[in-house]
Amino acid sequence: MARYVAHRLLLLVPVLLGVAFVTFLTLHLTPGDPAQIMLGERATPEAVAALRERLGLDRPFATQFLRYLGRLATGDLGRSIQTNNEVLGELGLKFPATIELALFAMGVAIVLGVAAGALSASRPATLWDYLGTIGSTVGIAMPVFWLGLLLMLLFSALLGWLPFSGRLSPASDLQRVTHFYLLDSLLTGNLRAFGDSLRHLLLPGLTLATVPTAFIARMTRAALLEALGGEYIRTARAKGLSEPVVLLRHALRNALVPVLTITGLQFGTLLGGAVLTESIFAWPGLGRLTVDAIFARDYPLVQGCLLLFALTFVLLNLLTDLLYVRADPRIRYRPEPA
Amino acid sequence: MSRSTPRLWRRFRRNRGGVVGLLLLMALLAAAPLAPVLAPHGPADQDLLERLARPSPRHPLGTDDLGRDLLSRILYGARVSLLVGVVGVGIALSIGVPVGALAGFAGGRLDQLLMRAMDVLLSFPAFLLAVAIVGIAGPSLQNALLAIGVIGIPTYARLVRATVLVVKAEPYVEAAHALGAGTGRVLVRHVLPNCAGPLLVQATLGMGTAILEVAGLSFLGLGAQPPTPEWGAMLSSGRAWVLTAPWLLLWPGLAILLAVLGFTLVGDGLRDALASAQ
Amino acid sequence: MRTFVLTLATILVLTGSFLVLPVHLPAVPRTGEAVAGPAPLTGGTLIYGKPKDAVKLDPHNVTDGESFDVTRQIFDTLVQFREGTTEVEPALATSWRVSRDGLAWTFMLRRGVRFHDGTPFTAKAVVTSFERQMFKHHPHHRGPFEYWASMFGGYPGIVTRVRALDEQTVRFELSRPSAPFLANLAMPFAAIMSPAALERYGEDIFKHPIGTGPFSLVEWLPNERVVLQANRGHWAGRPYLDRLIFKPILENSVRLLELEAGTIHGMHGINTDDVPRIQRNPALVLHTQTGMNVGYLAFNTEKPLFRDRRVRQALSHAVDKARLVKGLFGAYGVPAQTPLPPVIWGHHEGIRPYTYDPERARRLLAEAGHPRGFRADLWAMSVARPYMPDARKVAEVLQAQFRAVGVEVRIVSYEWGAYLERSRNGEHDMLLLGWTGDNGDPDNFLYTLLSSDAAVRGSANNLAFFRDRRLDDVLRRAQALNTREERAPLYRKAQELIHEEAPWIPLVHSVQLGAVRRGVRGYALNPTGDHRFHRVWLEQPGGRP
Repeated sequence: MARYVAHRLLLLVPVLLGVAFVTFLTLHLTPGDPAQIMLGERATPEAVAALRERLGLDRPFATQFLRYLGRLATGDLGRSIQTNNEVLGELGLKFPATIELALFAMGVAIVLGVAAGALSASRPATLWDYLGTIGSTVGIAMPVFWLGLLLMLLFSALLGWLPFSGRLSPASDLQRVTHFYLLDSLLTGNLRAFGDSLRHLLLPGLTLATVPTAFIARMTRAALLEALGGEYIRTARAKGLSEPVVLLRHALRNALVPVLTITGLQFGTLLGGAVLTESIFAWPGLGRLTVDAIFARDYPLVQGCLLLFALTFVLLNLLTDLLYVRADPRIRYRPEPA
Repeated sequence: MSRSTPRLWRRFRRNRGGVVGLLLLMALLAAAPLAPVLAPHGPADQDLLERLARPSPRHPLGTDDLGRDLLSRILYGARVSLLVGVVGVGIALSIGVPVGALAGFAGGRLDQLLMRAMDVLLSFPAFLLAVAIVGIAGPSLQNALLAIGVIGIPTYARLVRATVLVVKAEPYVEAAHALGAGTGRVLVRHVLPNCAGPLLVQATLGMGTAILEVAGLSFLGLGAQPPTPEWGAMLSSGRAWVLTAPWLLLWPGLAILLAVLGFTLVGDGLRDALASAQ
Repeated sequence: MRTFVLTLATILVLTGSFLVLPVHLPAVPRTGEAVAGPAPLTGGTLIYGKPKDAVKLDPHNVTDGESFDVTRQIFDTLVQFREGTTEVEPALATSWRVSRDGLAWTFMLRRGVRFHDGTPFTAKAVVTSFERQMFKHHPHHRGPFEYWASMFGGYPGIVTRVRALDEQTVRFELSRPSAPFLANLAMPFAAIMSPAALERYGEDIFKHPIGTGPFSLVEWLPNERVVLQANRGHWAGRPYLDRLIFKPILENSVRLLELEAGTIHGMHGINTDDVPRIQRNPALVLHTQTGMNVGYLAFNTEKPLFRDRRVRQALSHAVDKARLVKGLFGAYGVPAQTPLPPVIWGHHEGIRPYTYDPERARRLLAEAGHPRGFRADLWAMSVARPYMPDARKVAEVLQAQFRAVGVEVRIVSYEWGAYLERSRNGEHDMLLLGWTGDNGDPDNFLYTLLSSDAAVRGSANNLAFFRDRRLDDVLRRAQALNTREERAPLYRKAQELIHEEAPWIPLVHSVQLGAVRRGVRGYALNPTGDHRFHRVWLEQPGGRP
């Protein structure tokens, strides 16, 4: 296992270099002089020259990239054009919001998806199965930004059950420690803030969870049906085990690997979807920061967001891979994955 | 392939979802060219004195905040969405297929390099990468299409490469090679027919995804620009009127959902039909 | 009997709203509102929804209302406008006098005032707050300081010196007399800032605003909330509220939904189409105020395309202003024919508007060498402004109307801060923007927005970059005169010149709208577009939102 992990980490190196190269390119692919673009076309020549100097734009391309890597290695992502704050600091402030949202959504998706899939598979060709299948098909095709608006209209505007936007009520007295508000409220023993932040999480979380739920439900159903047709299931049934036990203890375990695979893939959907969800629910996270930075032409900030998103995604994928090595002992470390 | 086509259709037909999807797609395909005939008004014709009108015989789906006929905009929006699907997937295919084939045939370092490049593209959450590309290139429908194309490349490249690797190892292909058949010939005669099915499935699903993603980009203001009647952009501006004219939110969203559903169902149907045909 | 009915109705409303509303705010009965009104209560937290967060909390370095809405609460000025008017009254200065030649203004400062950081307010603070803005070589002159330049014509502009005569006396020396000078000092950019804080925070001062105002900053989480708390030692008495929280909510519709749900107490940025909805809702109170404002389209006259007056006039003829205003502003806007709103003295009634005449527009374009029209960018802000709740829509209407005469425009938007910054650099072809007068003086529109002094790249408020000697001359002469009777004819002349040259298409003067929940008292819209919370109070301060 340790060797496998080491190998996977090693494989990350070229990918991360590539990711850094792409974010580095973003600035150089912009039509025109990056310094000029950042400062605006009528900026004084002195200011442009100073920024070019600061960014090292007068050096050869390769040198620039190496310098960029060097700065990344020391955690120097530059400064935001808008606020003059360190990009790293800005990211640090918004990142927990996105992770909190994404993890919550993923939790919801796994629970709902597996439950719906199992329900369908245990009663194939019944009304439940049809509803599940139709639901997951529609879920996959659902424009989440639309769904988010409809949910907000229903639960916040018409029913008044849930808040409209943000992570906390404006007057909340939560002490921020980790900036994961659910965690912070528990750490500080502030139960009201816990409820408050949970209420704020619900709508964006559900919205974001829609597509992954649908995929997971679908995969669970398919994998379970396949597993239920297997030899050992017949044995289990022959042994007289009750149907729920067969389903949960035997079939589900065998269906775990494909479900895990699809779950891992859904992290991409989740992080990408966060951009839209955050902008609908004014969730102050990385996704919204990215879009704001784009509209402000704040390129250092855009670069930082992109880099952090990619890093998160890569690490989450690694985590899923490692998880299924654990889940399925048949997967073994192979030197060269085909 | 050609012999199996009728059989494929017979199998596809049995898939209820696939047939529903096909009907949805046919509606989309019909709406796009027929928009000028079907639409009661021009998609950009404003009537500021008839803003936010409720659905009526004159405006069957009501009007938007500039008094434009919503039905007409939805119909013309079908054109934009179809274009998005076709062009977006077209870009991805036209780069992804050669890249995959090249990597598969060349092997060695080139293969490594190309596939690592694909890995790099895949290490960004897809939609986010699209947002960043459009952010850099500037918000417009063209750039959105480009972005959607780029993020689609790795899927097709990997698919084609995998087929190439399998086909390359087939004895008859090795024989053909030995007899002097060029790589191009092998590609056309042996590789493409072998991955046509999966490519078709992937492309169909990809069109749905492309529509969804461009709608998302437009919703953020990064895609289609006014006055283009794009569904995502319509939804975005409809947000302002949830209180007074909820139908501005309803119809464009439904249009996106149905179009994407059409492509998804047909793609799934095709996949099932191909799987059972083998 | 009538009281009984009223009470019953009140109870019904109350219980009804409690049934409907999940939370939060005290829905307060209307009883007792009619006559003198009850005595204000102290305490409580008010949450106010605004369209956009502040760009910076440095009042010397911003020009937009979203930023001033916050800094107004934190900072005081030497003089201030009496609430609801543009009459000047004492603030940090208790009295003042002007020399006979109009070149020296002397202010006697209030004693015993302290900044939020505990340091005393003295003449030095006044000197630093102004020198920082006026002198390019000043160690704390970091930023554009565009407001200063647009008010006083450069760095230092007409103010040559600010001198502390002693601890409690400050003298401003001017190079030429300026009639609007005193009123200018009541504007939010003339805020007095703690010199100690400037020393301490340097370039980051915009995150750490330290003033003497009725509220002090507790926390600013960009795009989430700004939390202010009462300055209990304020020289004019503590504010009634304990805390004031600003919450930025981008969408007008969502902001109103939040107000209806009671998760915020008040807001501005209201779609005119939503007004009836507010009026129907017994839990809400609508505030209107004939705006001292103008929403306009500016041609960037530095671009070759718009250097030609005929092109500008052609597009002026291409706009069906009446239809645009009626359609998008309804009863809450009137078509503008000159930059100066009718509520300000000096407004020219007799301007003959550019008629809506696409034929003539096409002819003029052909004369100017564009028989087939041309392509250009039209910038539109993406946030609600008091003078234009939805500029992107205005832009779409203009796009359609321009297309009818062969001109294809692309609508371009940036994030609000970037929008202002880039437009000040003159990157646009045409742009939409507006202005809310800060001091009730015509100078504050015509000189501030159209003189060549305000057309300096990087700090421009004259976003048409319009430079006209005749106009400059008229505007400067008007500044040097003292009475309205003398100045008004000059401003009428200026408006005629502007109309003829058409650097702008003035579009609309709109009615300012604001809404609060019933139970929020003392809220008022000001002609200057300011929102002040010093005298706002809650009928049920204990209510927890």
